[in-house]
Parts: sequence; C-alpha cells; structure tokens
Amino acid sequence: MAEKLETAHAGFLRRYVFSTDHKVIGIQYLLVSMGMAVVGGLLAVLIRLQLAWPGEKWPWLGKLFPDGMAGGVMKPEFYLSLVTMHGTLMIFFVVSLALLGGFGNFLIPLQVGARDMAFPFLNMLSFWTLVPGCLIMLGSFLVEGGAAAAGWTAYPPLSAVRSAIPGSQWGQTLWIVAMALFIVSFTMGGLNYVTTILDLRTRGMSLMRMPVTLWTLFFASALGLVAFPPLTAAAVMLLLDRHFGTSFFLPSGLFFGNQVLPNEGGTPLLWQHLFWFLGHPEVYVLILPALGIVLEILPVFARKPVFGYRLTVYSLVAIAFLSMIVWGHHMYVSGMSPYLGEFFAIGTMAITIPSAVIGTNMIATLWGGSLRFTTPMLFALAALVFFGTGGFGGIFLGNAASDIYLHDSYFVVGHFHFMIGGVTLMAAFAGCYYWFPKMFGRMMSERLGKLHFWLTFPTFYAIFLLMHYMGLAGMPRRYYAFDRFEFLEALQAPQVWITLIAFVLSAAQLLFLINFLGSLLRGAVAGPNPWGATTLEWAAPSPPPHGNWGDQLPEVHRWPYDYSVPGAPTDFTPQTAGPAEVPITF
Amino acid sequence: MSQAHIVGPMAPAWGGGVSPFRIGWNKLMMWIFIIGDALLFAGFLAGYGFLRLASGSWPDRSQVFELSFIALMTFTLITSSATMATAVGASQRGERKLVLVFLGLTILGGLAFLAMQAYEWSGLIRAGASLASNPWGVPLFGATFFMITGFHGTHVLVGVLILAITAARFQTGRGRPEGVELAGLYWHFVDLVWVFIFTLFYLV
Amino acid sequence: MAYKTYWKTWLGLLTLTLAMIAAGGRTLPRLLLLGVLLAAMLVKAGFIGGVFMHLRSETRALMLIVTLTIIGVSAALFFGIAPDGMRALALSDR
Repeated sequence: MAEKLETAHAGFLRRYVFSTDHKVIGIQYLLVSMGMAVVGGLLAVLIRLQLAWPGEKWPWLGKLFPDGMAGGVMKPEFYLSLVTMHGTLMIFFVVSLALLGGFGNFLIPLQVGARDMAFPFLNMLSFWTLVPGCLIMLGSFLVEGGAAAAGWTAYPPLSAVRSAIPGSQWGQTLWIVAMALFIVSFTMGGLNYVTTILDLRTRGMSLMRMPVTLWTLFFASALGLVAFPPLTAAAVMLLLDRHFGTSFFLPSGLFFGNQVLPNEGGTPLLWQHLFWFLGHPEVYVLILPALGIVLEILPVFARKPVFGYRLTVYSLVAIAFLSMIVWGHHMYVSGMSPYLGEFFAIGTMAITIPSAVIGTNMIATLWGGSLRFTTPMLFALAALVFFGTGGFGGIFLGNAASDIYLHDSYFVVGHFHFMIGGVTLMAAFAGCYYWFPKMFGRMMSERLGKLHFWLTFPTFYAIFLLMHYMGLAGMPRRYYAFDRFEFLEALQAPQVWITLIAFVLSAAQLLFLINFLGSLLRGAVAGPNPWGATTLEWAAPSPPPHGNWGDQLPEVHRWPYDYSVPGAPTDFTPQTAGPAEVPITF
Repeated sequence: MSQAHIVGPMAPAWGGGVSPFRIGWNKLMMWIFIIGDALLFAGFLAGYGFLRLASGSWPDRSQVFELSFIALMTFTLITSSATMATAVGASQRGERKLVLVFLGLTILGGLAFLAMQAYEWSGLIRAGASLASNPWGVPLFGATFFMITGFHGTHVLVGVLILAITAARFQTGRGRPEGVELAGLYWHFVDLVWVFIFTLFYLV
Repeated sequence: MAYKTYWKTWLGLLTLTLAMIAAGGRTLPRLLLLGVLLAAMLVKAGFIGGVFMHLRSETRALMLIVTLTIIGVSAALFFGIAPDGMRALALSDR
C-alpha cells in the first residue's frame, strides 16, 4: 500500500524511466528490442547488398563507414563485422529481449495473478544493466578497428589474437563487456521470473493451471540461468587470452604476422565446447517462449482448448533437459572426438520427439476449431509453419554424417533463420498484435497488420528456403563474395533475387512501426478483453493499473483453456469463473 | 463429472502465495543465484580440468605451495563458516549480541583469508609467476591459478562487504533474521567453492 | 539447529581436511588417491550444504533440485569436454 501511494506521487523519472512496475519495464524492453531490431535489420540489408553485388561501389555508404567501406567498396573484414553484429544483436538484443524481457516481464505477474514480480527493484536494475550493454555493443562500431568480426560465436584464434582482424582490436573486447552486462541483466531477470512463477501464484493457480506461456517462460529462464555461467567463465578466459597473454584457447605454434605466437597449452576447441554449452540451450531459451506465445494464441482464435496440455508440459521438460546435452552437434567437424559426436547426435535425434509432440499439439489444437484469422492468429500460424519446416532441416544438421557436408553452409543459415527469425520473430509479432490492447488500452489496425503479415511471411519464407538449397549446392557461409567461384556461378542470380526480396521484407517492417506508433496515439480504445480470452491478464483493465488487481487479488478456479465448453453461456470461460457459472471438468 | 474433479498434483491444495518449496521468495532467489554462481565456478574448473588433461605435465604442487599454509587458509574459512552458522542461529533465537559477535568473527575470518591469499599471491608473483608465464614450466598453471583464486577471492571480498552491511543493519536495529540467513547462505557458498578449489587445484 | 551441531560439523570438516592433506602426502596409487580426495571433498560439501546451509532441513524437493542441478550440469560439462582434453594431448607431441 505504501508503495502504491509513493508511486502515485512519483515524478516522470520514477514512473516511466526508473520504474519498478513490471509492465513499464516490459514495455521498455520491448521498445529497446524494436530499436535494436532496426539496427540489426539495417546490418542485414548491408550484408545483402554485398552478396548480390560484390565489389560494387556505394559512395554514400563509403561516407558512413570510411574505414570498412573505403571508397564505397566493402572490405571483407567489414563484411565479417556485419555478420557478427547482425547475429549478436538479433539473438541477444532483439529476440531474447523482446520475448523474455518484454513479454516475460509484462505477462508473468499478470498471468499468475500477482501485483508485480517478487523483487521489483531487481527487475528495474536488470533493465538498467542492459541499457549500457546495448550502448556498448552499438558503440563498438565506432572504436578503432570497428565492431567485432569473429562471428557471433567469437571463435578463437580470430577473436583471441588482437591483430588477427581489425574487429579483434577493441571491438571484440567491447563485445565481451557488453555480453557480460547482458548476462548479468538476464540473470537478474531470470531470478525474478522463476521465483515469481513458483512463489507468487494467486489462490487456485496451481502449476497445472498455468497457461503454456508461463511454462515456457519458466523453463526458458531456468535454462538460461544454468546455461550462461560456463559462457561467462569462457568469456573471462577469452579476455585474459586477449589482454594478459594467457593461452586458454591458443595452442603452440600459431603462426601469424610473420612470427610464431608465444602461446602454448590451449586449444580453440575448449572455447567451442564452453561456448556451445550455452549456445545450444540459448536457442531453446529463445524458441520456448515463442512456442508458448503460439500455444497461447491458437486456442483463442480457434475457440478450442490447447490439445495435449500435459503432454506439452512434459515435452517442454524433456526439451529443456535434452538441450543441455546436445551442444556438440555444432562441433561435428571441429576435430572433436567422433565418439563424442555420436553421443551428441543421439541426443539431438531424441530432441526431435518432444519438439514434434509440441508441433503436433499445435496442429491438433486447430483441428475442428472455429478459426478467426486475425493478425495475431496469422503470425502464430506462420510461426507454426516455420517450426515444422525449419525443424526438418534440423534433422539433417543434427546427424553427424550429413552435417559433415552441410556444416558452415547456407543450409545452416537457412535453418537457423527459419527457427530464430521465423518462429521467434513471427511469434514476437503475434504477441505484439495480441497483447498491444492489454499494454496500451488501444487496438492496432487490423488492415495494416494483415498487410504487414502478407508482406513479411512469404518473403521471409522464400529468402531462407532458397538458402537451404544454396547450402545443399555447396555454398559456404561467412564468405563476403561468391562471384569468383565457378561452381557457384548459377547461384549468383538467386543472390540478387534474395536481396530484392529482402528489401521488400525490410520495407514491410515500416508498416509494423507505423501501426505500432499510430495505434498508440490514435488506435481504437480497447476494453479489458477484446479477444475473448480466458487467461488472467484479460481480467484486468487495459492497461492494468499499478498493482494490477485493485483491492482484491483474483482467485482462479479452472485451467486457462475452457473455450467452447458445452452448455456454457459464452464460448470462453475465464479462469476466474467459479464452478457455479460453468462446471469445472478439467 | 463432479465439481471436485480437478487434475494435477497441486490443484486442490494451492492456497496461493506460498512456495512449493516452503521458503520465501528471497531465500528461493538466493538459492537459484547460488546454483548459477556454482556453475560459473564449474565452468572455470571444467576448463582447468580440460587444460590439465591436455597438458603433458603439471607442476608438483608441493614444490610451488606451502601446503600447511593453504591448510591454514582452509581452516580459517571453515571456521568462519561455523561462526556464520552460529550467527544465523543466534538471529533466529533473537540473541542480538551473539549475532553481532559472531558476524564480527566471521568478518575477521574472511579478512584473514583474504590477507593470506594476498600473501600467497605476492610470494608467487615474486617468484616470477604471472598470468602469462611462471617458473614451473607450464604457463597455463599460473593462468588458471590466478584466474580461479582471483574469482574466489573477489567473491570472499564481496561476502565480507555483505556481512559488514548486514552487521551494520543489525547494529542499528534495522536488521532481520532473514537478512542474516541470506548473507549466511552466500558465505557458506563461498566456503563450499573453496572446498572444491582446495581439492581440485591444490591437492589433486 | 543447535549451536552444538554447527561446531561438531566444524570438527568433522577439519578432520576431513587434515586427512586429505595426509593422504596427499603419502605415495598412493594415483587413482586411489583421486578417489579418496574426491570422496572426502564431496562429504565436506555435503556437510556445508546440509548442515551450515540447512539443506537437510529444507523440503526434499529443494535439496534435490539444488544438488542435482549443480552436480548434473557440472558433470555434463566436465565429462562432455574431458574426452577432447585427453584427445588434445594424444594428438599433440607432448
């Protein structure tokens, strides 16, 4: 109560900048992720320019990047910076930020029926630790040598030897520092998420009555909390290798710059192991909340319960557990022991099973439903399509034998863009359109939303489907130009098509930004439950006040999927509806 | 179907606002933080283990360290853990003076450990050890030593600060038993990590 | 928990530490020494976690989640990368 009064009289800074209210923090995260997405997207446009027209002169870009594009022509090392930063920004500072930072913060207290997170001050700290991380990442473009250029995977020796490439001077160090801040921010947020879901559920909200979204956020946070620490250890070792002459990742006999480097005893293989020990669970940290959002939205717009709720929860457990023991499937051609490789391949094949269960449950949720193709539904369906087809590609990469050919080819690029770009991005958009009314009390434009969808989904799909075939044809990744390889001559035309389609895709995102901002100012006013959904957040006003629930916390009597219950007065029964109104059968 | 047919192990009993582990949110959060911090050290120790397996030889510890001195350091930290546990117990029994005495002893133990660690470091540095090289033939030995003990020492220092703040709050009457208990969990964790470092780096 | 329990545990920890140092001083077969030291290390950890950190008085679920997560993830990490450490030695000319 005292906190409520305090905030009522608080100034602008305390209410909108250093707020401890999870809803404000969630929106702050979402807005930052949107800004970083614009930067990440522009980096992708630059990448596409280079690949379609290698060696071309771009005078105005030459002015913008006088070092990397001296004379308007892109240098190979600048290209490597572009792919590095595009990957890093998109994975950590866009997808993770939007899904976990944005939706996680906004939804968790509302969906469990709490007033806020367990430790609101820590929550605020987590956002304000992230902001310097973002600024340092972006600032790394401006230092001598430019941004890091060793890939988002930061493999030594390229990342460990400062003279190896311009980006490995200060850019790589700033990259490591910014990642450390990100990891600290993630940890602070994750601690809050897990604790709030376990301890702050309202009366009647048992674990098996939680929406699937909460389960996915829970497992994703827990996974991140245990998977990040070994990467932090590795990052420290990399810093020591770079600046203090250690040899954690550097073997003896490295010959560079006309001399043998003095290091001995280490190996890049250790970095690869430690990095991917996080790196693989990380992709599940990204995709689990996305799947949660899809499973949140499908029932609402099919007016049907989620199919196989329990099996979905068990599958999430299996995925979370298995994801921690398959990291070596990124390392089949690294020189790793092939016996180790087989162990990882078996785990990777096993993980397809719970993933397939979840995908099947999504389809079964739709089966026989009364479908409403609103914009959130369209994006959720797109995410499902990407999950299915992208998942198939993963089977070929997960097998050591086929991966020997496909590793480091565009097949990999196509696959992970389907998963991280496709599933997670479509789910993020779906979430934005779906929860915008709850966040801001206004509806987004359906017309602009559908236009955004039809310009985004087919283009994204086409671009990265094509890349699967280019990879099969033997096109390697992270090369700054392919026009000098005779065996890839036939693929130079598709490179141009992809770039042109990418321009359409990028431009289409303006529709989203216009819709978002315009609706904030002039969107139709939204009631508490415009979609007719059952989960707890829709029982609060749009937007919910500070403290979410007024005087009385809600009480939950049923699971969140009582859609179209036979004999019920409406085709949805909120979780707060008592047994007298509609019988509780699940 | 009767009204009471509610599925799920927690369904009928969930009164809300209570942890399934029967501890408050702040203790749960401290435990999860401890899990994460433990895995950070696991990352360092796994890397160290990997590099030792990969190197043909490793210095004989008894040539490098005065193991009785290290034993003294271990003794100090373990004792500070016992005084910390006593302080926590005293805070739960409301014995305020005892809390302050044993918090003070714990802080002294922590400072003594840090002093001994600093003394050990300075001896090794004077002998020519650094992150990049050392006189015992395996450069990575010094690197792993300074990195692992450095991170542990930093955790001890942070712990001493946390304990000082906790003691100050208790002194002014603003402290609560929960605060002492949370500080205690962190301090015991730091001791726990030392058990692993002591065994895996100094003895094995 | 009684104060006495903490100080009895303290005595046990000290005894184990001295035993570990004594074992390290003697010339035992390498594997046996490793086994003894690791076992003693885990027992000490159990004392600190169970008694000092009160894990043995908490719910079984919490105790299992804390211990199994730390041990499980650490083991997965170490045993996942250790074969390559040995392989690195085998492939080198050291």
